[in-house]
Amino acid sequence: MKKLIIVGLVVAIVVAIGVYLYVFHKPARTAASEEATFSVTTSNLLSEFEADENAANAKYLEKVIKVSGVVSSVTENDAAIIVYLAEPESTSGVSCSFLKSDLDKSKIAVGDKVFIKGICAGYLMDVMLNRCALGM
Amino acid sequence: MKTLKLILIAFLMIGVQSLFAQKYISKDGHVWFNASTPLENIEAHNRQSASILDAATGELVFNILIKSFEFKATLMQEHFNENYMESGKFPKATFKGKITNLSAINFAKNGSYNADITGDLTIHGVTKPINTKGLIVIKEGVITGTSKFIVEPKDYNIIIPKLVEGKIAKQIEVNVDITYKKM
Repeated sequence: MKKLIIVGLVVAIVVAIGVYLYVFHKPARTAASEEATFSVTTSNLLSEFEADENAANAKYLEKVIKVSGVVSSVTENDAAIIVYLAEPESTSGVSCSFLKSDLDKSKIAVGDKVFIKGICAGYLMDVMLNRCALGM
Repeated sequence: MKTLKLILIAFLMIGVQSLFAQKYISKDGHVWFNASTPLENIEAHNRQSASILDAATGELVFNILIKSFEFKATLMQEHFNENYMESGKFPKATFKGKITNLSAINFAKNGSYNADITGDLTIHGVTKPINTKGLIVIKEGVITGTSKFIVEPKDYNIIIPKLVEGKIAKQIEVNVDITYKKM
């Protein structure tokens, strides 16, 4: 009986630690592990947000979007690499933020035509995609 | 007479040029906040804030996406978005205001200037007036601005459940660090 209690206790503790680890250290959601809900071009995505931001928010926010476009710049900050897709001469575009561990910078260059999957965060001067993944 | 005309035209052109060159833009401003308590370390960073500064009028606009705040803990980030900020409903926070002591700042001359900033801050769909101080540093035509201010979640109808009340600071310190480019 005593043994059973001890075994029970050990199991309970292991489960508790497992739940704790899962809840507090679960990996961040990234676009890489999900199928895209929408597939659009840079200019179409932009014009949808420019035409009716609320409608576009309702459609795209938190969804994984696969966007195609031409790389206009690649920049880096403390936490992320930002790949900016825009038409030449355009003042707005799609800003794709990658966790540094999710992008090999040598694989991307200005002028490349790319597909990028990302989670849509909304629209400021550009449409913002976070936790992106580079596609083929 | 002719030279006078030329000088006049030259001055006019300089005037027109500086008129066009007085708007500054940034798309990668760093905004972060600290809501830590002795019980919990809560800090999040957003490095994609968009801002326009008009050096001629002092008008200042900031836009920021709530979903672009990155936390260390994924669960915290989910709670922040879903329960507290309701970022699906209110995706943006904005500041619209102006620098009120514009005459004390010379955007054409290198230096550090204290700025008095006043305007409306909108978070979670609620707009409140805010006054804060900022530091503007001008170096070789590059404008860097920093500011720090306090917001209280209750002012913006952000409801923190009793259960976690002690873990989240009632006064949250917000920091801004931004570098502008000429528009």
